[in-house]
Amino acid sequence: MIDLKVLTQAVGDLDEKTILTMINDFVATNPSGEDAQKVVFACQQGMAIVGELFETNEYYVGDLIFAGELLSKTIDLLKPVLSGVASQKIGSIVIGTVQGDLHDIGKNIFGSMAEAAGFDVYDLGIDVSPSAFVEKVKEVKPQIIGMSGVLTLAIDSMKNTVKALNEAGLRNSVKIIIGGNPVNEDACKQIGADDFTTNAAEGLKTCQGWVK
Amino acid sequence: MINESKAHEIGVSFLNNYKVVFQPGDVLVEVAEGRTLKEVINDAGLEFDFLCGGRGTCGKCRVKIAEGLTMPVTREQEMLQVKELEEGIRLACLTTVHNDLIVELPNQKTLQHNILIASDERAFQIEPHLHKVLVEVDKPSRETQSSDYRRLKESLVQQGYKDLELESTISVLRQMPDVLRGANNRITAVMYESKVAGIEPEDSTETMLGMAFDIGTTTIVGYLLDLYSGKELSVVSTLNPQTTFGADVISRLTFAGHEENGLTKLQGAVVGAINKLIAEAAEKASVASSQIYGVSIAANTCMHHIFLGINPQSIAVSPYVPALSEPLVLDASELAISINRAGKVFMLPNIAGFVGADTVAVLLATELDRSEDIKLVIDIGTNGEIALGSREKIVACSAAAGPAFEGAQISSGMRGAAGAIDHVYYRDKLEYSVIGGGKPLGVCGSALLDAVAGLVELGILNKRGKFLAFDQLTNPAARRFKENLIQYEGQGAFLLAEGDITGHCRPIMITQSDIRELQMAKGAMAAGVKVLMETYGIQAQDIKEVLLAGAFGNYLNPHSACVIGLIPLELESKIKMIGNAAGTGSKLALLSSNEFCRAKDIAEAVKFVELGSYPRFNSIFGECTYFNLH
Repeated sequence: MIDLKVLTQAVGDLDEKTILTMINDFVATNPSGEDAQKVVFACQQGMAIVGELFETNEYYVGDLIFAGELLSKTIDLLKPVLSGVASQKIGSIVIGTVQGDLHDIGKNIFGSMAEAAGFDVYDLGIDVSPSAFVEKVKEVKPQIIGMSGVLTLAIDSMKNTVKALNEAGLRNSVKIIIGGNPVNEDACKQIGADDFTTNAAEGLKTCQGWVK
Repeated sequence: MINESKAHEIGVSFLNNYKVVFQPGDVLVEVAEGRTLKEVINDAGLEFDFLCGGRGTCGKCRVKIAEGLTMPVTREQEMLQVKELEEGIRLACLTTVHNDLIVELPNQKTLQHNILIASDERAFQIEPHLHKVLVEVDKPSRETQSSDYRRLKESLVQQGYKDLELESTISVLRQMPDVLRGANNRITAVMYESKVAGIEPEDSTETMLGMAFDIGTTTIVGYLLDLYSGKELSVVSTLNPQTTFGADVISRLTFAGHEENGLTKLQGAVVGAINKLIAEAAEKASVASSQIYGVSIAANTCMHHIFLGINPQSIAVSPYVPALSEPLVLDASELAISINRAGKVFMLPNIAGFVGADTVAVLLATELDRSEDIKLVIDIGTNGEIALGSREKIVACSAAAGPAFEGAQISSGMRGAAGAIDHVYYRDKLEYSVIGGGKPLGVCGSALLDAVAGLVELGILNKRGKFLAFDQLTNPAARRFKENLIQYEGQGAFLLAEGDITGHCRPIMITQSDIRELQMAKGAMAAGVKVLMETYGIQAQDIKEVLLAGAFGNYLNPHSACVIGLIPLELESKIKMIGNAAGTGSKLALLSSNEFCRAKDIAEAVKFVELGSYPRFNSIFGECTYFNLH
């Protein structure tokens, strides 16, 4: 059996070689869905270490991007042995970079950290129109919407998205968090979001607080 | 006064007016309650540099309230030190007026910038856009009853112009009868293609001058040239006065789109500056501005649009297309440019929303379109434009480096002006040089590069950009700088100058978050270079030359740039500084109609790569934020 503690530490250390070797070896043993779930959990704990190291300034953006990619690679490898297992999700989030903006580094980091933390994450990608947000919210009924943007003008798009959610009568069914370079308390109020963040790890904590 | 009437208009006449006096200079302004000092400074036309555009994010617009001090707002408390707050230091963009004030503005000397005007030149053929033709027009006669215009055209036909193609403007026709008679029918026609753009009495063919401009987001440089010889008669430069409305392109875009008459204000500011420079250049060279017949403009896309009064909003949102990229020839009078009334303005073409005519000018100056070798051309700024290519093909992109290289968002950062530490040397002890030689006031981009490169080489920063604790250092050379290694806000930092030797009594240092800002900035630039190499299908070693254009590129130490990974390490020996190449390109386009046409070909041939939608961009960027010495 795979040593989960070693795996968690390897994820925390961003040791790609060790992680991929361990996961490949594990999948080759044709494990049960239950065991695979434990491996996912160990990876999630490793991501929590990454988050902590980011907060203490040990890690930086490059590491978060790398960690996110590493995690999706790992989950992809595990998918065949995970099928049929009902996963325990702590909540669901719809995320996207708002209309007119293409920057998605922050959004992607947040997405992979949220996924690692046990959220169902629906990522709408970049340049997402207000109506696309509304449609997805109608479809998957998430608890949280995360809007991201780097350009100052993203603020306008965020405002329009909240307006569209209001008009569709969906605003009160979700919590909204905005993230990215131009957001601050004023922007948050102006937009009508519930909270804001310029830091993926901090944003995740806010979301975890909302679904408790 | 404007404020007062505004207050009445909106029915808030109960608001009080206060007196604000700015020092030095005793500038008195009457101000309605609640206005920010930034608004007051701008309305009063005082020169002041708002690095972040006055959004309260950079903490750099420090002013001293000498009288009438009120409580700081929360953000000021966050961004200023307790000692500063006690001394009456406030941020102009966050301080609102609620009583009479005396405000001390920072020494104007610090606002004088080092503006790069020198550049490499290259050989080319002068082919003026405009021609002056001396014509002896026949006297009117009873026999033929031929009109003034008819006779003028006939004289021009004798000079080789085709009768049917000849055109004229109404203003020329209006002048014609008087000019002809006043000069006894001996006149000089100013021709643009087959158009009579102007007529002047007697023979004025001896002189024809022009001015080439490079309009940057921060600075504007103008070169007064003799259009016959190509000789440079004078060079003038100024800070772009739009800086008052925001330091970078994005804040200008925001201003143009969100403020009332924002676009008009921005356009007015730049046209005003251009006219001032024209007058100044003419005076310097002892010529009249009416002897100037052509003006060429190389600017980034946003500056280009604003200069023309075209709304630049489309640049700001995906897919970031410009309103206009084609080259233009316009009448100077239409744009209110004060040169000869027959004068033309030549607008170089743009490539994309964030790769503008200034980049086209750089490519024209460097002749990348005819180069046998593959070259990398980089113009480092808030938006770094990068082009890679040869005569086979050229690819280009714009990397959003942010303002770190220009000193914004760096704790001790400032632009490359007097008082800025511009280079740092790790010798037996730490040494540095200061622009202007006085006491240091901060670090500019080139010093930030040197400082961080040294920290990387000494192993004081790890690969991830984290400051190591002193006992973790393995390089013995690093131990020499023990006293420079300090703690700031719970993080490691590197002290460059103690408070007792600086011009403002605050220590100058490089903090952990400064390192982070630099990692983002250099990561964006380096990722741009990588993406272009991938798109082109080459490796770093295939690049024969790296040409650094622009002010920052000219002052940086190539070794430092390579150590921090801004430029691939293996290219260090191939780096060449080419100065203000955008200015050179602008000159070429003004002096030669062939070169102006070539600029169009270049703009059309360059393949623009949008980094935001490049598939692997994020992971390439992530990798590029590291410090990898090996």
